[in-house]
Amino acid sequence: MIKLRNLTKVYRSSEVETLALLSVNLEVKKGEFVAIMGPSGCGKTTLLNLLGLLDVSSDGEYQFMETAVAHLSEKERSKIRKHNMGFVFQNYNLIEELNVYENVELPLIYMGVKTEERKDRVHEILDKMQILHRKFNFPTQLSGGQQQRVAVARAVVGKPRIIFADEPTGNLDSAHGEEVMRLLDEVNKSGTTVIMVTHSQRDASYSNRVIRLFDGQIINENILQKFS
Amino acid sequence: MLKNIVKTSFRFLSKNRVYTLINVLGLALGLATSILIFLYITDELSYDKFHEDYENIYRVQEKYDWGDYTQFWATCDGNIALRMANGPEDVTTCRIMSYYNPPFLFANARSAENEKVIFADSTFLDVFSFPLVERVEGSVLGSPNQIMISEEVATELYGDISPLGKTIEADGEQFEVSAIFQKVPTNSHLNFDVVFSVELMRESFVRVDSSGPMIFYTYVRTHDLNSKTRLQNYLQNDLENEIQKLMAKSDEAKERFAKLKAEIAFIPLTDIHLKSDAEKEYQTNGNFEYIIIYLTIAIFILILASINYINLATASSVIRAREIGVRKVLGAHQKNIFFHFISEAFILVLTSTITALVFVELGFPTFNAFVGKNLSINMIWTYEILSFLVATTFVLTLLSGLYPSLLMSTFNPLTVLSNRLNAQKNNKINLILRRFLVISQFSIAVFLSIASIIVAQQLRFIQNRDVGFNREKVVVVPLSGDSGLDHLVDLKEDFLRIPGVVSVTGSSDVPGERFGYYGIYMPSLENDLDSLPQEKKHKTWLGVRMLCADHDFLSSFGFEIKEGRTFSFDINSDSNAFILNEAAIRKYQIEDPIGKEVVFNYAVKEPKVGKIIGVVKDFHFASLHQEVDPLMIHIFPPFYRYVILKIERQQHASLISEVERKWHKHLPRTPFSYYFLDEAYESMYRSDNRLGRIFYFFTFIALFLAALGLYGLVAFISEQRKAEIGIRKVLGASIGRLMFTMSKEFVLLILFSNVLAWIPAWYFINTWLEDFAFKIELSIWPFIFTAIISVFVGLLTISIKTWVATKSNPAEIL
Repeated sequence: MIKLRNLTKVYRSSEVETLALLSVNLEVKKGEFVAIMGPSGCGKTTLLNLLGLLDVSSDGEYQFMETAVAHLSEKERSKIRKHNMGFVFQNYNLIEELNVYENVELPLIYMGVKTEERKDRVHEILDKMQILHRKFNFPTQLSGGQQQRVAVARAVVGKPRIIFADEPTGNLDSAHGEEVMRLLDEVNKSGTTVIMVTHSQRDASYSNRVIRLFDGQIINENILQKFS
Repeated sequence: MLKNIVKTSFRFLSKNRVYTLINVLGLALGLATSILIFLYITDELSYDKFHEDYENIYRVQEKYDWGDYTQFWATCDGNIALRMANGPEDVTTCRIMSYYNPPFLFANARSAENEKVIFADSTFLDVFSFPLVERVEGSVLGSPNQIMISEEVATELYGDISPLGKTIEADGEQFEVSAIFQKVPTNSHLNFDVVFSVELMRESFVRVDSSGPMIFYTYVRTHDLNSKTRLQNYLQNDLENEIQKLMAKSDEAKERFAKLKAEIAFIPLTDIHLKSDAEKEYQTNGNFEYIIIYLTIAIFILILASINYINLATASSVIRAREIGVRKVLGAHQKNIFFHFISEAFILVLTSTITALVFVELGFPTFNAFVGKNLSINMIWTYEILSFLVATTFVLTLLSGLYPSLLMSTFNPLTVLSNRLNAQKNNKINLILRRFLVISQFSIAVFLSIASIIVAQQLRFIQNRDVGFNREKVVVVPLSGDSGLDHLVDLKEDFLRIPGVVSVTGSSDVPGERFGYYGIYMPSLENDLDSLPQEKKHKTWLGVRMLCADHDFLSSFGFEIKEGRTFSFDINSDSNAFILNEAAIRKYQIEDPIGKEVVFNYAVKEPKVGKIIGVVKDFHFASLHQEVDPLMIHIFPPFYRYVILKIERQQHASLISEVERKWHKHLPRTPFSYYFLDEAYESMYRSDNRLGRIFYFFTFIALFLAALGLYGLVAFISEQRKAEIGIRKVLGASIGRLMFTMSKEFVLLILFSNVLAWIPAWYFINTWLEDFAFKIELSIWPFIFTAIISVFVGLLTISIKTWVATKSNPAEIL
């Protein structure tokens, strides 16, 4: 599903050049649950952003679903994101002015899904995430765990092929963290690929394999479970 | 999608109430002001457009340019209309003349007075289409005893009964009501309540149709532009031929008329109100330049309000950034984001427009009093105004929303989601734009403030200037026709007996009115010029304004006699004497004027020949816009229209009722009316005072909007600089120091705005003052004062917000 060849990312400002990723090679197959780990500043989020087409690499190749995407325009990247990718962030990134239902509905609006179908799909996913009873609440009226469940619902409602999660439990206590990880696990088991950045060993234990990064390079791939 | 945008926008706006309030209030105030101005301008531009075929109606005038003097009157002689009617074009003409000393009307044991009365030709309703209530069959002004009255006069005299065909008495004669018309629309340059026929005039004034006295406003309705051009050329040729004939008469005439440029002017009916300023206008017209000024200010105010939005929306983009990032991550394109924020701007502008309409409705009474009009919200439901509203809403949406929407749509989702957008606050383009906007806003406010101060100074100068006579405690009683004039002597005697009345006099005009312009000649003046050939003598006319007044007129007003003496009851020959003002002496270089002979023969059977007995110090009988014209004063009762009472104290209620009692003693059927001279004199400056009031109002709005915008901007900036403030506090900065840090940039921007506004303000105000013959000297102080005030307003605004920001506990921020 994902193939990276010598992917490099350099941040340049007027006087400083920071190497964030250096010649990263990686392959992710459909249905995998991959955890990316490493110390702060090692390039985990940079890698995730490149994979999620939120950022462009400085060098190297990136093939998503057999298509070279490293040098696409923002418009083309946006199109691929919209139809194939879902995102879960550490700080949930729910839109405060929209209620639960409306937040989850948003990707479907951008995908051009019709109103009736949107309604069914949002209800279905909220029910699945056990947050349907809160559909008219606004983000500020929810606990952190509930907000992240909404964020996961929003990430999967468009039936993406892959979910990118950036420290999804980083702002949650252990009980709520566990809940969110179980949801991601369920999503993955239903066939969706998941790539997750985490600091937590326990969260990583939900994945099929762990990629360890250090100073912008993959230093170790620990395959926890044979994946075929 | 749209539903989602509307929902998000409404929720964002209701959550950020201060932001919304500043924007809606600012835009609504700006829009309300502009709508009111637009309505005012629409009304001004609508003058005389209610007449059918108004594009083909013209007022005909003659312009005589003698090189050193141009005579351009709104009136012309009665013959031109005849020549047009008998000319090559099939046109309809109509002559109108104001009734100089209108009589009161009496019918059904009731009377009506103080009406505006005119004479008009029988073609009146063929040229004009004043809305009628009812009329008789056939001609309405064809015979001398026909009269047209307004619905109001009809009600006053006959109550609910229709007076059509009934009789009305005026000056002892009976007239038959031939038509009743609706109240003349306010947007008509002609206003009147009663119309007599020109045929009535003919009975006492045989020269109605002949060349001579220029007393008629002459209108012509042509078929089209070509017909108008042909007619104008025909009259022009006619006039030039006349002049050629005159020139052929003698060498002297040839020499005299060679320098004359004579021109026939066709003034379009719809141009009269705003663009015509000829001598003897029917009434004081509007001023097209002021319309342009008001329009410019309305645009300024709208720009101010838009700038507030741009500034606030750009500043708030930082707090909207995350939302934009999320939307982009979830699949929104740049155009989706642009559409989202431009829609939000539209929602705000639309809300503001609706709020503005509420403000407009609430503001009508005050605004109408301000501008002396009778505008109403119903005027909005016209194609023009609705188009203006729709167009303004869209233009404002674009003006306000375009930049912030473009800016936000280009946000990189990664940057905004990783909270790196704070760097945006130092984004160079944003910073330059924000500075530019603050400068623009304050420059406009400063420009208006300077203009306001100087306009106020000039208006105060006008009010306080010694006009050369005492206009206070003077009561003016109109004589209401010949019957009043007949009892003038009795009235004067009786009024003088009332305790508190100092003096009583009669006159043709009172200061503040446009005095008539007449020709006199002075044989002695020409005889002095020995070099002048004999045949040229007695030919040079001196143009002077004329005031006909009683013996005691000059002493009643406290006019200063510079040379000679004033009129005396004891000297019989004074009834033929003349007094000139200094301007006349100066202009016509009259040496030793006392005792010199003057001949006046306008509209009198026998020329009035008398001597100059005095020279009165120049006084401002007309407005300070003009230099004092040459003036001639003489005793001439047939022209009197007023009894003037000088009273002891301004407390007058019982005195006036006593005057009224005495009036009715002599004139039981003639209604009594009066007014105070100082109030009427002030009305000369109505247009200037209006401009002043509008400027003060605009300045207030502009300063308020600029301060509002600054407040909103500082609110966002202090929110963004919270961490910086916290760090500075931890490092030991005092509140005073912090406030200085936060304010200094804005203070510099405001000062810069002042400097920028100075030249246009100076230019504008200098141009405006050029219209006054008597004016204040421009000084630097209004400029300095405005700078101080604007910095003060700016600092006050900034301080309110920065004070709160600097008082917060660093621990809460860091």
